[in-house]
Amino acid sequence: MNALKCAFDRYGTVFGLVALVALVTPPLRHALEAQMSMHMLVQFPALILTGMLLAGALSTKAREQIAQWNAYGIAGLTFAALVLALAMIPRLLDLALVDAHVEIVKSVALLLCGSALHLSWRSAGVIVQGFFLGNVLPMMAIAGSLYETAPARVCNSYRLDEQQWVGQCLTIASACIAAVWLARVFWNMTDKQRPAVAVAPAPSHPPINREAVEERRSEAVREVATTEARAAS
Amino acid sequence: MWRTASVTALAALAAFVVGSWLTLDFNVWTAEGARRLHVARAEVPAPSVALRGPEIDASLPALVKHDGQVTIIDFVYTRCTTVCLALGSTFQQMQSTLAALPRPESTAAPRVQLLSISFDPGHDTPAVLAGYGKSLNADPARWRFAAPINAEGLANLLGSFDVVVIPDGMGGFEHNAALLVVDSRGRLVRIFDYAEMEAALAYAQYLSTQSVPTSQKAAG
Repeated sequence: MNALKCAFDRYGTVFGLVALVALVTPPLRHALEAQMSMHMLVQFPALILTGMLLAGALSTKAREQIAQWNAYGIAGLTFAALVLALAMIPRLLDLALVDAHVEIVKSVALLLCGSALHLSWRSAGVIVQGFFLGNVLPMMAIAGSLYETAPARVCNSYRLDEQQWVGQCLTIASACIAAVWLARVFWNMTDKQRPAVAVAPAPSHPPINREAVEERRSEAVREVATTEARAAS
Repeated sequence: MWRTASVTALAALAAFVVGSWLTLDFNVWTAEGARRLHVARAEVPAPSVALRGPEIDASLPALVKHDGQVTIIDFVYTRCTTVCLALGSTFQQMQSTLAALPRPESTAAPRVQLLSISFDPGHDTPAVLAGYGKSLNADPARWRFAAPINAEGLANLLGSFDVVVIPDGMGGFEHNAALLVVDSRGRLVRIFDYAEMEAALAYAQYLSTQSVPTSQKAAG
């Protein structure tokens, strides 16, 4: 697992560039766009992942500068949510096939969506992440169920049976992403609690000072003795 | 924080602009919806495409350009067993509805014409189309069949009217089937879903009554 992470840290940019070139060159692009399932379920996520990898190449200074415009990842996650919302409009799929401008804007927007996710996710924290997913995932599930139940085709370029399958996959994917995210949040919560219990100093008694105790005892004895003497006199 | 807020607002504004462009001011979500809205907003002249069918050997605009006549066109292929069958029965119902209407003059040709154009000219020769029409009980005075004579004409016609034909993976085709209303000047003026048969008929009849005075004016 660590080796994989190291490889990604070191070669992520290279992977990203290779993926970018492969995704935009016609043979693979046309192959991916020949079917609705490949277009929405493979090409879109691949472009987003490529954007993530490429954002990893940014220098620390550049990240800091971007972060000034992206407090708590709010701007980045808003941008990503908006891109994903537009990407689920069926007309986009049809237009991207016939209009080169739309195809370019679509690809750039999805790449930037991935980069925005990469640059915002950590700083967003659980609350902003939850808000982002709470918007994007239900939208994805609704779009999926609409694709699945629509009596007619929503894309003129793609078949009805494929559209229904894509709809099912979108619904399932949204549920899976929500489950994975929730599992991670709970995992991190319990992970944080465990060391907190172990490290906190156990409530302990201060070391007993025998001399002080002895002194207080003799004092008490003297006090008792004087009160008894007063009572006797 | 104001920097984040301004970037966020800018992103929202950009998405709104892109979204309203993509959905034609949030009216449509599909390419088919956009196609129909585009046609309703601005009519599309029929391209000059040579067609051949039973008792037909003419170019498309000439075929539909008759004074006071409105043509409802659909695209079919005779091997089809799915949508085209539904369209066929829609056209059959439209034919019988039109036949039941009282004609203004007994000698006048029917005001609303039906035309089925095949996008599979390799298979749908005039003879095949004639047999297809016969099996659907088409009245040749009202419902005619034709196919483009060559591939360029076909591509030109499908491109102009935004008809997208894709293989259905089972040897047939899937296509955005609809009722295309073409006026007497050979312009595509409205596209109806084939479930909206009554609306298409009413609109075509309305157009046919509207186009008489203008053509008379043009003639006079």
